[in-house]
Amino acid sequence: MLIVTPSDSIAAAISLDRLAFRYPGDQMPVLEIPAWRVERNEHVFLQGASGSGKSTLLSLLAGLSVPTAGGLQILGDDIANMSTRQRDRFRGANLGVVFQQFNLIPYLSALDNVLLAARFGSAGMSGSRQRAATLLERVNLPLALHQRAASALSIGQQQRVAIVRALINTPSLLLVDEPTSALDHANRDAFLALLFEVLADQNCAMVFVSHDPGLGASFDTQVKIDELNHAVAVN
Amino acid sequence: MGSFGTVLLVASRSLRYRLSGVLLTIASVALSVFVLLGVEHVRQEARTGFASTVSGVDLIVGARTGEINLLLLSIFRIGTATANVSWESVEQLEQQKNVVWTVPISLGDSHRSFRVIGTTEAFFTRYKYGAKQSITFQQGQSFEAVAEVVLGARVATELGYQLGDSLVLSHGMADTSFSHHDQLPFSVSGILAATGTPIDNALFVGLEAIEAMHSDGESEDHRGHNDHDEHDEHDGHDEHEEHEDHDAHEDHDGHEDHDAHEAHDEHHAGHDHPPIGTVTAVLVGLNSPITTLQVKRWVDEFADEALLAILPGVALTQLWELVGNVEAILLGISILILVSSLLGLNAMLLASMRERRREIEVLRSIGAPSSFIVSLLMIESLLIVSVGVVLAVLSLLASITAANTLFAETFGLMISSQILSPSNITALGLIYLTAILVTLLPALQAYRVSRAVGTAAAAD
Repeated sequence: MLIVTPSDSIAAAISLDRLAFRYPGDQMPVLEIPAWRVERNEHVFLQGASGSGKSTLLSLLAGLSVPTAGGLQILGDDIANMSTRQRDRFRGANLGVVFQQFNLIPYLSALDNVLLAARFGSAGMSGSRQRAATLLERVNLPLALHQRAASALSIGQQQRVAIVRALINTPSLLLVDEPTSALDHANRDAFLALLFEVLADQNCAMVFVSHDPGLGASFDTQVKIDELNHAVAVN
Repeated sequence: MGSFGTVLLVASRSLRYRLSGVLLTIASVALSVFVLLGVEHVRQEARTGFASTVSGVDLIVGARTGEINLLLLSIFRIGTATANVSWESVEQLEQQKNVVWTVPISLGDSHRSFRVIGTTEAFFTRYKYGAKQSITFQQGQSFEAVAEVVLGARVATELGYQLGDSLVLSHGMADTSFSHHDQLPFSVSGILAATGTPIDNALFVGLEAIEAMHSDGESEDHRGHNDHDEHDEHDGHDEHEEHEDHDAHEDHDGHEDHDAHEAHDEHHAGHDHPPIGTVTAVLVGLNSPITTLQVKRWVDEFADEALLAILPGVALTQLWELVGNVEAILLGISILILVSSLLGLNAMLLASMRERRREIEVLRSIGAPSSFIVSLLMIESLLIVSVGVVLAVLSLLASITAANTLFAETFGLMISSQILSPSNITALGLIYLTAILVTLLPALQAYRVSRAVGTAAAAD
């Protein structure tokens, strides 16, 4: 928190203002959010059923798609009005994204997956190899597995590498989409514990999306997407 | 690590990940590039090979036949003479004012399936090949005595002859010919340096030697042929049109010469060398190229005998056009093969797009721009094409080395291993251009997928 610049220090991690999103060709918007705010360092649990638009919201937050209407500010920047290339750079430098599965490039090693993210981020290559190795150790991935192809790792191991990959550029916002859906109960709890442990010494806000309300306990804030989204669900 | 380095690294890992499919695609590209380069190279080589077979000869004169037949017979020594040129015609030709030199050649004998050429010593100084290169002696010198023979380079190496070795010539071309000229063994007086032309596959003896071979030990009657009058009569027997005269002769009882001539004809049925006093063809050198057509017309209109004069360059071009059409078809087919293999590459990339959708999502989520994903796809296919091209070039070099042994034996032609001729480099450039064009479709697909990542993710 002390590192952030003055202009950033006043801006929220996420700030939505009358945001709407409609798929091209559709009549009705799938998302209509009058207002939503996530503070710096705030860890938010966003709960919702399948098809409730939470993944759509996440891809808007990640700048992978742009809202049809309304304001969307991430870390104080109006990413909706950036060019695609600018959004790509912004995402690489400031955001970390973890999907529910298939987070890694299957033919690259665990370490190279992390380093490739560093290549597109702001971290640069010089210190990132050391930092990647340290972080991989932190998520209990032994050195022997660092050079192993991602496709040869277990799902649990892959998801832990995905956390490292998302954090390698010291992002200010981490977007996590159902990362535990492919894990069994014990692994799920271990994964969550590890996630919070790694995040503890990072100045990083998090939006964690899941359909499972049972996971929300350890978060600062719990939000139901249905409370946020005023659009009439079509499916 | 630069941006290009990153793409290259990711692309090579990606290819290794899908190795079996990639190897098949590489093999298909390599095979098609091999065929295309090979056909194009052989085409070039055949053209220069043909064009450089003979130079420095202004006209080739032979008995009237097709132009290409005469060329094949006199230069490539393929086929047989249907008729010959008499000495008188040769002498008259030599006396033409624009004719500087004539070199007669007489075919019909062989030595262990290599053709024997009866000619004069002037052959070695007048006959040129390639860019007016003279024939040179690797060892020894021209034949001087009647029983001396000069060997083409390949004949000497193939049969292992040295200077001074003695050998026996046979009638006709068959290796198993029963009719050997055992009475006149030849000794090797010289061995020619390799030329890469049919010269390498021939043996050279003096015209007198041919004459001596066929007079000695054959029917007594042949001695009489030195006399011109009888000789002419003999010629008449070889000409089919004059057979009616021949029949007329039969009516004459006790025609002494007749039986002997018949024996001679039977003897000649098995092979095709010209009767004594005639030659198969004459190579002619003129004082100026301007007079070529003038002399050609004189020969073509020669009254005493049906003769034909050809310009070697023109006839070589005609022969080339004959063969060249086939080569053009081959080239067309090989281009089609290449296109189909590049379409295969395209199909492989497109098919992999489904499974790579996730991969593109991941790349986009870590901030990779669409341009990175498009160049990843293109670099992957260019790597496949490049490896294919390198494999094709290497195996083409290996094949040329292997084929040279065979070709030199059969055709007296060597294929150069300089396969990166300007035209082949152009072909390679076109191959790459086509590959890039063909890859544009999967790359465009990748671009679309990468732009749709945000909306596709919401399908979950």
